[in-house]
Amino acid sequence: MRPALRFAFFSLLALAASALPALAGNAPFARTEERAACAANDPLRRPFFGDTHVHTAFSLDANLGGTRNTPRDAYRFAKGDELGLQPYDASGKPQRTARLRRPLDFTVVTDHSETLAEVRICTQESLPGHDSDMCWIYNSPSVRALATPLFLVRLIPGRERFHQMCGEGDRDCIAQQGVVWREIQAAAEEAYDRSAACTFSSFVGYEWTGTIGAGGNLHHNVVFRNAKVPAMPISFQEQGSPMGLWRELQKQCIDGTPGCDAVTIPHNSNLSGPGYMFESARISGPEGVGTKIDLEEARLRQRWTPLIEVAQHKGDSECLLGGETTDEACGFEKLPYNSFSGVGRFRGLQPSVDLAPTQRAMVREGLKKGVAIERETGVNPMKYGLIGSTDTHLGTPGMTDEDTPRGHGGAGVMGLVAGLPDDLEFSPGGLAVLWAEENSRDALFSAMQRREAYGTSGTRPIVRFFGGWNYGAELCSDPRLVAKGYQGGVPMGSDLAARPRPAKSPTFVVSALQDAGTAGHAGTPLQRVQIIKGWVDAKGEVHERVADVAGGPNEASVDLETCEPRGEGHKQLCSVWSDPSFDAKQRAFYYARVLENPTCRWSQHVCVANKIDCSDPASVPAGFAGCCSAEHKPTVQERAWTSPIWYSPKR
Amino acid sequence: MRTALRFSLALLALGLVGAPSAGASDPPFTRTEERAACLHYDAQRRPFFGDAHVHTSYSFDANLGGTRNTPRDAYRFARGVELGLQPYDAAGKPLRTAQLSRPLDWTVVTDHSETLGEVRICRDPELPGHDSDLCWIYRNLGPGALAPVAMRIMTQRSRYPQMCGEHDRDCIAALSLAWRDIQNAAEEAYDRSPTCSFTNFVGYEWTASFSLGANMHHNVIFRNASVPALPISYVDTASLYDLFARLQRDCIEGTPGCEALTIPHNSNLSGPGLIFESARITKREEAGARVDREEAALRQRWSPLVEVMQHKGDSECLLGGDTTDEACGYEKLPYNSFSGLTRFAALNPASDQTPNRQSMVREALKKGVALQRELGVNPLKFGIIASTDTHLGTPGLAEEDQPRGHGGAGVMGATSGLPDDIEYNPGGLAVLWAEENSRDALFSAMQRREAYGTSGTRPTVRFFGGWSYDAELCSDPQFVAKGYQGGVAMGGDLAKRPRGSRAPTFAALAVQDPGTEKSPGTPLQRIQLVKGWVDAKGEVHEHVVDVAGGENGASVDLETCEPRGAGAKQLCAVWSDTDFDARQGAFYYARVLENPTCRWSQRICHAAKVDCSDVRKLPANLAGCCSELAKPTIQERAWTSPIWYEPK
Repeated sequence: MRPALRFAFFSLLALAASALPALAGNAPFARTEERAACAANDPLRRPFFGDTHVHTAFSLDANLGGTRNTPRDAYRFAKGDELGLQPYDASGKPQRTARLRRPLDFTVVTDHSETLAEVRICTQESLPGHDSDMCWIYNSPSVRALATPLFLVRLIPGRERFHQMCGEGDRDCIAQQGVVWREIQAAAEEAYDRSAACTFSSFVGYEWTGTIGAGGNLHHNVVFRNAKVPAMPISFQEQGSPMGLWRELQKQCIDGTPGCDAVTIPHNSNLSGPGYMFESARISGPEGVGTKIDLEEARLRQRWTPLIEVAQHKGDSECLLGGETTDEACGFEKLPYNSFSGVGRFRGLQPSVDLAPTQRAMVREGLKKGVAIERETGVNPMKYGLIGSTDTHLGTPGMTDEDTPRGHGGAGVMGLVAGLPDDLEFSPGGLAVLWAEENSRDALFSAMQRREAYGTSGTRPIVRFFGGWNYGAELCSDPRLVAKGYQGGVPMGSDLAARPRPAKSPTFVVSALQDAGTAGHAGTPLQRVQIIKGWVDAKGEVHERVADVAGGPNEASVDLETCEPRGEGHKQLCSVWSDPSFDAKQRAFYYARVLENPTCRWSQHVCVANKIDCSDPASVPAGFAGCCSAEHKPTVQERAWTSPIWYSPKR
Repeated sequence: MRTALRFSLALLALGLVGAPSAGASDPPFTRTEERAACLHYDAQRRPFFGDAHVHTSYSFDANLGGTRNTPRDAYRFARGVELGLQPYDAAGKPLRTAQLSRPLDWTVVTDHSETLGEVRICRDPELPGHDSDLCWIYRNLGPGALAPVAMRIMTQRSRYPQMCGEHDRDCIAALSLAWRDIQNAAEEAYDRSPTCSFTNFVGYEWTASFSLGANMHHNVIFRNASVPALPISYVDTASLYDLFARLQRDCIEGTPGCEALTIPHNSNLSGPGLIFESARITKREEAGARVDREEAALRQRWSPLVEVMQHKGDSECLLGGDTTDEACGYEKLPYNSFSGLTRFAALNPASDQTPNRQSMVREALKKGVALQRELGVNPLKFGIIASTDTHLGTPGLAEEDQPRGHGGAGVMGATSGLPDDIEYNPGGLAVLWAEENSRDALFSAMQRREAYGTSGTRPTVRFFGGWSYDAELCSDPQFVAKGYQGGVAMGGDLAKRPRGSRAPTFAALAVQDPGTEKSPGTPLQRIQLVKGWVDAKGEVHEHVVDVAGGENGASVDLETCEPRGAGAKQLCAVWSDTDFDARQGAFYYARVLENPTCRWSQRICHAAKVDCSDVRKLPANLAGCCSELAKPTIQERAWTSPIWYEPK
């Protein structure tokens, strides 16, 4: 029905993903490592699909959730191998398996740095500390369920280790943290394809798991450019704020380790309480809310956080209906709470906190705040490009298909074979897409740094987005769209060039191709492309507007009995759009959002496959109660969000 | 409206006033302690209201729930003093208080013996182990740290070596400190003067539970101040049989003057009725093990009473099988073990939690007469009491109109909304018929099972069984004297059947709770007799009959909780068992039902104008109002200990 052949034409025409030696020659990125040159190098860049947020058995919450897959396993999975998943039987045989239909191009394993040692000590009998009371709790089947909160609470909000377990001065734990960190590096090295085939890139990384207030999430993933990394990861125990993390990265990586470079990627701003993620990065508690973001912080922040994760297992953080946001598509995969205190397992630990989701915790608000601060200080501290990722706790990067959900892992429903494999509010997560010349660490890392990236909710549409001052209105039908896009302006993630005299307003070119899918699992046609503009006015107030620029409402729907799609959509959408209300005095950002036709949500797939009949509640097995809950949404509109293009006056 | 005067006739009938009777100088119980003689002594006995199941901050779970009241505070409360309750503000001021409208006559503080040492260590900076990782959690995150401590002790029967030191010795040392304080608190509160205003007992709870949270808990109560050096815990003894053996060794044989008994509770949470299986079993898989004569005798001796009802539900009976008794549909928990509790459900998602009849006291009593038929000894010869199981240190706080919650097992830190999980209730009371309010007199009443339980109110209930009671006994002012003379009181065995008697006769008399000025008692609706027996094939049966009063149309105004319709101030019946078969072992107990009143949850849910048409809009602390467990009314009740008949 939708054979790959039909796509060849569109791909060739609109994306110019091959040939065209336009900008070839000098690589636009620095080569910092020794490796074979890639056989395939495209100066007009290609989209590389990956996952920058992956937990394995090295993360305490994943391991206590039954995950046994290691970083090595996670990379194997990303490259297409089948993996076993919990629950395991008594002989150690996994009761579930998973395999990607399409391997990933790149992956970053990002285990929680805070708990690397404790997991190792409690799971390896010979190590000092293994006989401790805390490891007894960790390993006892009857008490184990309490171990996650107990460990996490001391290590993460508490920023301390268990001294009896870790030995004098915590030295046993620090020693084991170093051992685990070396294993993480070795796994990345093994999986990285340094041959000319350039089939797969991995990055050494970890998650800095800062948390403030009542479970307010400040987590940032740290991604290193190459194999040159500091001796130890930085944890929340050592650095209590993102500012501290960046300063320490500057010291240990940039200044202290020749050849080292890194970025940090915040995620789950939706769980950052009242929006801690977009407050000053100096704050280490709720009392710091409102602290002014000064120039030093703004510069450091822009340098260290070129990207933000907009969607993953634990919900979408793009935007929330309310205030001036009337954008209906914001009603997508929203968690019904605003911090970790709202997560089922932790509810009750902080019974009095207000858990209503808040608009200030949304990425769109962060972007608006960024341009408002730039208006005041001249530097935008929240200049985020957008990606998605999974945050898998099963060691299964890129496992985002709605029709084969396996759950979040440690944070999902543990060890379940029959029934919904996860809490209803979670989702299978998204993907990160980087536009790069080749699949090498240097090329991909440079794409992250210049924000030439977009996120998807898990599918693989291909999206180009350019901004300039004089794109031709016919560019969509021009076979040289991409070359002209680069020549006449900037791609996603960049700043518009200075406005040429005659230009009244900027023009944006956006082109989207539907996900090609795989044999037997067709991609879904596109419904529309939208451009979201945010700006700050003369009074310093921020605003937003959402415009459909291609496609629009259609009759497409889903047969909820079978999950078969109904109605037509678009294989490709393209538009050249000029901002009709542009004001050259106002700072602004523009990003594109591509919506697919509706499809069944993961939970509906499971409910349909198990023939759940909600009209007869007595017939619904316990594990499937979510199918019939009022909160259950049977469909989703998969989507992609590009990084913004920013406009500033006086450039 | 219900003045004391109106009760005088009833009191006369119950033998509660006047009529000095024989035997005052030579009581029918042994005096084992030094104390002043009681001024008030009544050979025909009086009902003493008490609570045999009380937790304080010494219990890990109460502590975990924010309880700060100590055993000393609990005894003060029982005697009528107002107490502060959690939550506490930053300055340590309690945000709630409670006070009994009527003090209790007696109380037993029964903290969980297993964790006394660990709780102490984490609270006392002077003690070794205070700097342990587990106490760090207690000090920094609050008492939640005690959950893993208790889980290990109570599921694995082992302690934490880093916290407890070599051979657990730091924890055992701390345990003995707590045990000493428990004894001191009891001694201080016990009235040894001739006034005999208050009695208490040294005790603790032996907290065994088998896989998936099946409850085997027994409260241990000592007769007097002569008690063993340490309490016995589940860590020391894996089975109930072992507990009995250790009590025999440590108390009866090892401590001169020591005497004790054990009271099982919450059979409703014992999974598939494990608490009524052989006392030798140490795990669920051993259910079905044969009970031998030695065990049967030991159990009959050590467990003369069972707690039929308390905070965590009623365990009398469950509809189904041959039980068609509608009054069984009362305060039933919707699960059958601790793993069914909302807090624990996630730990054991796979277990079947349907309440089952085997774990009901009525079934145990039936099983007992069946085993008697086989072994010649009834191991499950339980008298009946109720208690609160308070985890707030508030014994006797069983009034439906001032619910404060269960404490550790309830809703933590609530100052508004429902103060407890909807399936819980304010608990019941234990009533002992004794000559005077002294330890020896009350303990003897426990041993001979002359006891009844109430669901929290204070009706007065007499129950006698014999072969020749006069049909006019109810109108006889000598009801009580003739009751004792012509037969046995509740908890006893029917005398040998005299030649001419075809069937036993039972006399049951109930007087409504007089209540207090502010909160009048509720009239009675009916008295029922419950008979259980074993037939020639060894099969057990039951039969429930209304013997006085009956359906009366009484109801409650659900807006105001005002009662509607009339009831009886007193009910009395003399009833002969016309189906009696002298070859069949049987038991008989009386149940007294009051007119309906508002359940504890109703006032709160009504006052908060809860609208159940959209449950999602409800605040969490009122969500229970829309559960099917939020029955608007209840019928308070009393259950007497049975009287048994054994064929010879």
